Amino acid sequence: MKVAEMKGRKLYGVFAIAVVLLYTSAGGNNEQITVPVDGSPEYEQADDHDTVNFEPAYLKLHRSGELKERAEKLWSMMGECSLCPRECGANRLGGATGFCRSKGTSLYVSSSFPHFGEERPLVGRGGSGTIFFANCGLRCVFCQNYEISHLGRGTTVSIEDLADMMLALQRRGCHNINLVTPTHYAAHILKALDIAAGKGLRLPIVYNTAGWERLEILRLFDGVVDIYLPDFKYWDSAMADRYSAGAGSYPGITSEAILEMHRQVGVARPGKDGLVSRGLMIRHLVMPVDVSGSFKIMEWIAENLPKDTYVNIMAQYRPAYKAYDYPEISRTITAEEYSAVVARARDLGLTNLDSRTFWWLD
Amino acid sequence: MSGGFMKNRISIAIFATGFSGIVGQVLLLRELLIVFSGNEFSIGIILANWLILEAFGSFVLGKKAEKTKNLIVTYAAIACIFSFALPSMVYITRILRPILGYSIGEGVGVLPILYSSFLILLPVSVLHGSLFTFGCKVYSTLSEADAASIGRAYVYETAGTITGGIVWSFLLIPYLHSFYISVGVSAINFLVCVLLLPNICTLLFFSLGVYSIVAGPADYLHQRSIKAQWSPQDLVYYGNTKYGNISVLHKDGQYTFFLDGTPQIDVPVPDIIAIEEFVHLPMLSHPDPKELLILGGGAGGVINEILKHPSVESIDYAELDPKLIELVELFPTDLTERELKDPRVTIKHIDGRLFLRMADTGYDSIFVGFSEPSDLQTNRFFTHEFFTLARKRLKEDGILVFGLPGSLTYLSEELKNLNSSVFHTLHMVFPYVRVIPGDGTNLFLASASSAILLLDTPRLAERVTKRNLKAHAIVPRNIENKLHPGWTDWFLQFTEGSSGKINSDFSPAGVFYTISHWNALYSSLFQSFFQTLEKLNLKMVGLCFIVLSALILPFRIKGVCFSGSGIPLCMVTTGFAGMIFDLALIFTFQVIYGYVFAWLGLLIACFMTGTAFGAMIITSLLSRIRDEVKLFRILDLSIILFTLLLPLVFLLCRPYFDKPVLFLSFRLVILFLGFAGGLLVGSQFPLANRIYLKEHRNIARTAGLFYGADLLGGWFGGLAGGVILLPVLGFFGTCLTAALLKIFVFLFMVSGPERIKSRKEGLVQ
Repeated sequence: MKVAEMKGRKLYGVFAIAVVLLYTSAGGNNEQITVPVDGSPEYEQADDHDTVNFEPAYLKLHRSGELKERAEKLWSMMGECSLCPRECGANRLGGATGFCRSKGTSLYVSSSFPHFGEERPLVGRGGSGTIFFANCGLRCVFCQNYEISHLGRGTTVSIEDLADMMLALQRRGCHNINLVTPTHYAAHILKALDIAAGKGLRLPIVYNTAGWERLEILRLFDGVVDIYLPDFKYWDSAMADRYSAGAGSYPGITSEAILEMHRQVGVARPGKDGLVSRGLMIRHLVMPVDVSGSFKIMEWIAENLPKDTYVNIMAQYRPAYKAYDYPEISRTITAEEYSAVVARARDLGLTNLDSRTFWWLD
Repeated sequence: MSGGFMKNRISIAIFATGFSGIVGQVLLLRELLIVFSGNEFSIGIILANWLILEAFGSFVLGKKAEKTKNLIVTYAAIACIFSFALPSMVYITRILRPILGYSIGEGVGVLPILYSSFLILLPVSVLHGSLFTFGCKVYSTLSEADAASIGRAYVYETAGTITGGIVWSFLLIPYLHSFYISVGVSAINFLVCVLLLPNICTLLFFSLGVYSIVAGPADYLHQRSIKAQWSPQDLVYYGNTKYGNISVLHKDGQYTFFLDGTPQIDVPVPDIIAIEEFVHLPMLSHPDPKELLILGGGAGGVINEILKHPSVESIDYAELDPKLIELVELFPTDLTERELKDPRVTIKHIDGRLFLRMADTGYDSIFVGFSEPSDLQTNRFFTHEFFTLARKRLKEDGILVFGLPGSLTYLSEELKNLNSSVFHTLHMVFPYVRVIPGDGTNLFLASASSAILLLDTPRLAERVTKRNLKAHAIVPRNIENKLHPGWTDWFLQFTEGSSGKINSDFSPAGVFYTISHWNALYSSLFQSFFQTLEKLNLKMVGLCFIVLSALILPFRIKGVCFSGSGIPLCMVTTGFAGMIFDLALIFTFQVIYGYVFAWLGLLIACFMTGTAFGAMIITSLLSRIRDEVKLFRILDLSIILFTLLLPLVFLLCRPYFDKPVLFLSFRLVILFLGFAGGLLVGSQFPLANRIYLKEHRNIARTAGLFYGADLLGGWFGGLAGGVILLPVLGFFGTCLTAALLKIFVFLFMVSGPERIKSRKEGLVQ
């Protein structure tokens, strides 16, 4: 009696899942995401957008063999590691562990999947093909992804595996390859990209970084990266020093880096499908008690970059990891703190603010 | 001074040892639980460590009792050191988090729990363990050295334990903080020393004087240690209630309320995005939400957001601990004043499950405010039983809402299993389930109506306008983001091939997955260990015992080896079963009633009363018992039977829980079961001593051996039961495992004693 009942329940469950699948796929076919909320362009079906005819920057360098050369150059830098501005000098080629806690030349990937929560011009219908790398050279105390950036959770993969991941994301219909926290694996990435390009990868590369990048390295990405997606976290060097493991050089280095990124890829302008395939997209996380120096950063962007530079002012700060050791950042931000930054950005004439930015403004 | 007079004094000393033991144990247990974020499975680890250290103390240090000349002085000296150790360790527990390098609110992995609780308990438990053996020795030298004297000492110790348990539950918890309690326990021990050593009492008075100077300002120590525990934050409230620890931090008008070390409420600036997503997506999914129910976590923003929907007529809000709401009102903010004083809101200080069971209204939505099934208390809101009950209390198109830990960066096996297991469990009850993945929280909506699946951005956006919803984060663009059609496939792929285990009250797979999730994050060493455990099932356990029996029993029958190990081994398994009873009853209590903190002392005390009674009855009958071995075996079989019957009692009683009177009086049944289990376990101890003493004349060694064997078994029981068996195999599986273990050792024992007998006969000849 009981067994029969259980079986019945199981069948019922299977049936229910089938119903869900049926509904969702039906919904998927009928649904049209056309919600012009804030004047940002709508996107249509994935099948007929720009990326079909898009040729990513790295293809040329792959064909000429330069991509491989650049990868080797970056690889050799790991002998006395200087891939990030920390320049810890660890001999990663000899198996040493860097400040970022990357062990030697092993490559740790935490996850890879189509992401639907990234910036709208990266997500479209098929999602942004994110690959999250473990470890990080900046090591912020409030890191939301501390399990991967500080604790290094993930699995070791080979460079060929990384190339396959990129291709798999392309097959699943993603619109770009979004490399999250890539800095300390720059050499691996270029090697993998060279392999993937040879196997037919045609998606734009999104370099999703904390912004703290050395010019020397960025120049090696010229013609490789299509979309730069840097953070601009702090204006005040003392804050960067306090919350990001002594990275007092953050504001200076990051502002230089962003200018270089802009020089390489220019302003991010969406195609007729609403998707961006080339350009600079800046992220700025508003923190409590203006730890981030948001006004100054908006002012700097307005003064040094075109007014239509894509800026995503983010509201999702919440105390994570070690944040409770710092009473001033032990809370989320207030609506007022956030809207003041957005208002300032608008006053400064910045016109290409992320669509989500307008949430908080009535 | 006459021997009898001294014997009375040493009886008092042994009683005090028992009293100090339970109070010290529960005190440190509670302090450690706050550091380890209230996770009950760490109770298993902590009790296990306590036991093994006691065993070490009683067996290894206790051995010295045989050679020690000045027994009473040594006993008093140990009691003195114990008196200093207890408050010191309370202090160190308070500052443990910074020592371990963990921040406030950060989870602690199993490995640090294991070693830090071991080190904290080390001095206290080892000293306490040796006190028992020394006490026995002193007592038996004063009486005629026989097995009955050990039994009597055991009885005194247990009587002290019972008194301690009762005093703890009814007098200590509600009125005193940990330093008063620990200093009080120390003072009792000092008095005992004075009692035992009137000749050198000047010395003791001196040390007592010194002690009172050090410990006198218990309040100062308390304040200092909690400041250090919460440094660098500004702590404005710290207190223990019947249900747990509440601490409140303050900074520039912002208050954060911590329950058992985990942040719960943030006001007046809450986590706007998280709360809005949790409230508005489900509220917008319902065409006309009127009657709502919140089970936990309503204060601090959730109610406020729900009230923004104009159709809302009533909100029932069940929050177990009245102190929490009291504190929220004590530190008022605009937000909480507004939401708690709204006439539509009714606050009930009752366990959410109980409230739901008794409710007669149908709800449009039920919100579960607990963020994850991190312990047995919260797991009760993620089980098949709960979902079934919730469905009964929902209207036809009603929606059940809850969140589970989610990640959009690191998709670990543990996280997949947790989400998958709860998803499957939910699907057994609700035909329609929709999951909205998020970074930090996956939002689950379940309903008997398919409406939740059909919702899309335009429809929800229309409702935002229609309801004139003034939200910050939930506006059409973000809704589009959250309801992106890609997420549905994403979640199905995310959980594909992961655990299909059903999470139920007595088989809490959810807790196991949550614990392994957090543990895998903090100590990757254990990740594969937990992943292996996940595959453990009853078949494997059964097979294991069959193989073990097949390997060992033939040798036993032939009488090849292990002579004389049968009874000590049996005592180990009795200790194991005893610990399993203890834990199983603590867990059951938590699962059924949703709180155990205040009853912890009583539950343990009831069990101990049982053991004392058992020991006492057998001790008093000892001279009249002819065949101790036979009685020992009968008792062993009774323990096996009890282990097997224990789950049945719960199965039989479960259908009657719907009646509140029966439901509440079942607590007494649990206490009685604790007593009965203890009775069986305790009665074996003096018998084992008696049987063994026929061969060996060494009292302290024998007492130490069996006390040690008993505790060693308890240690295994605590570790295996708390961390592996109960979470993975559930309540029934664990009892069955304990029974199998006992059956195996019983067979081992009965296949051996012929040898002992024959050897005895040989000795006689």
